[in-house]
Amino acid sequence: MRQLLYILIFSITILTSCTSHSPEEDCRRIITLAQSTNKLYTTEYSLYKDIIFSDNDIYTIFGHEFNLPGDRRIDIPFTITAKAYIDFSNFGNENVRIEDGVVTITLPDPCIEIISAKPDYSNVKEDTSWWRTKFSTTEREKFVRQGIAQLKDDIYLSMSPETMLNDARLNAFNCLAPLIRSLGYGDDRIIIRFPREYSGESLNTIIDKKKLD
Amino acid sequence: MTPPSNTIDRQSAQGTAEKKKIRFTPAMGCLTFIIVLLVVAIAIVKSMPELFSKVKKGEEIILTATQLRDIKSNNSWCFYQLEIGPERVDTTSGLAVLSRFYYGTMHIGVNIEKTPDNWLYQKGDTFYVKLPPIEVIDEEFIDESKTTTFEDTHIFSKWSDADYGALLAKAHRQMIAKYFNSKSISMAEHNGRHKMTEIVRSLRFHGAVVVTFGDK
Repeated sequence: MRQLLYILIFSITILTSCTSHSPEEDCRRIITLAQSTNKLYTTEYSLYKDIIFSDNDIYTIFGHEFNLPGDRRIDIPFTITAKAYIDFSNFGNENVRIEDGVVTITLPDPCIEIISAKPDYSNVKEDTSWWRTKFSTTEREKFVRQGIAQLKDDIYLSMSPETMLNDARLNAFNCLAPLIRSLGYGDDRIIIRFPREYSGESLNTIIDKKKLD
Repeated sequence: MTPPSNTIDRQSAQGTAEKKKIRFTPAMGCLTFIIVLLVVAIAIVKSMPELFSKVKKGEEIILTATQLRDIKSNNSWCFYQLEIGPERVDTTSGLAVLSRFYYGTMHIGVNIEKTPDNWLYQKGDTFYVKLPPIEVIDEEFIDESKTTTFEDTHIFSKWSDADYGALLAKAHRQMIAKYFNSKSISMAEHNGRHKMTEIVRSLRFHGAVVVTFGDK
């Protein structure tokens, strides 16, 4: 009896375990790219979105379609944390002008970078009929990828670039002012500005597209 | 009074015969037949997907509007960053194994809000910048849209959301333990020292600049 059970488990395992992995997945290399940076983070944004997925399976047996009763649904909420930053990598003498005792600092363009993106696992809701299979790890992976990609696309639409620029400028001032003050300049003698006025299309440039991919 | 030896032999012989009968009952034969039938059926379904296929119809994906939940000022300076991944993290539940690859960018630097009161001062011709200790400046830095599953051996049930959440937390801890080390701290300090000196110099200060981190 026990032997038969072993044969059954073995056979089912062999038959159901033939999922192929793509060569790309199998040949992954460990990459850790380290680099020195000089970014002054100024503002942190938390964005939130839900992806709700539902489906109805239809089985085709010998060309005939059978609609199975029952469905399954999943609601996955996501959170993205993005930060506005000013890149000081190329900051130097040319960014600082001192005239008549007034310090004018021209900051590089502010950018936005995705810091983290994750599902809110404590609030995931799954509703599956008892005869339907639950969502697999691979299926969930697909929804997570889709939801986060959409959320990344929405970042620009969800926040006001003007507010973001003002926040970046104000926080950069709060960070740099003590340094300038300690060198003998009063607050009324410090001007911090960006190289150009942003409007319309040029506002797009503040989002670091490379970092969003 | 002990029974005669020939009686014992007869009883044991009957017992053996009964055991043999149990091994070959018709019920056992039926069970074997059902198992073979099941295995053959699965083999047929697997080998001829065009005859037995599952069609996903009525799929519906709803993406709710993006909400901006929180905006807060975050004055931190990143001096060193590590793009990590794929970092493999495993968990087990009984005999089942879940193994996933995680990706993230770890930012190492200082939190300006933690600077002491007298963090900037000038003494003679030397300017002192006392920065807080180097730390990982983001509470979370993993991008789950890049996470891929390497191995999932759960057959009869599925992993719970608590399992996925715990694995993500484990990946976070594992990355910090592995990459936030003396080497990355020293690289961040070196770069921070260089950049702070450059900024003070750009404000036309020509004396010596001393940049320290934490209590060093």
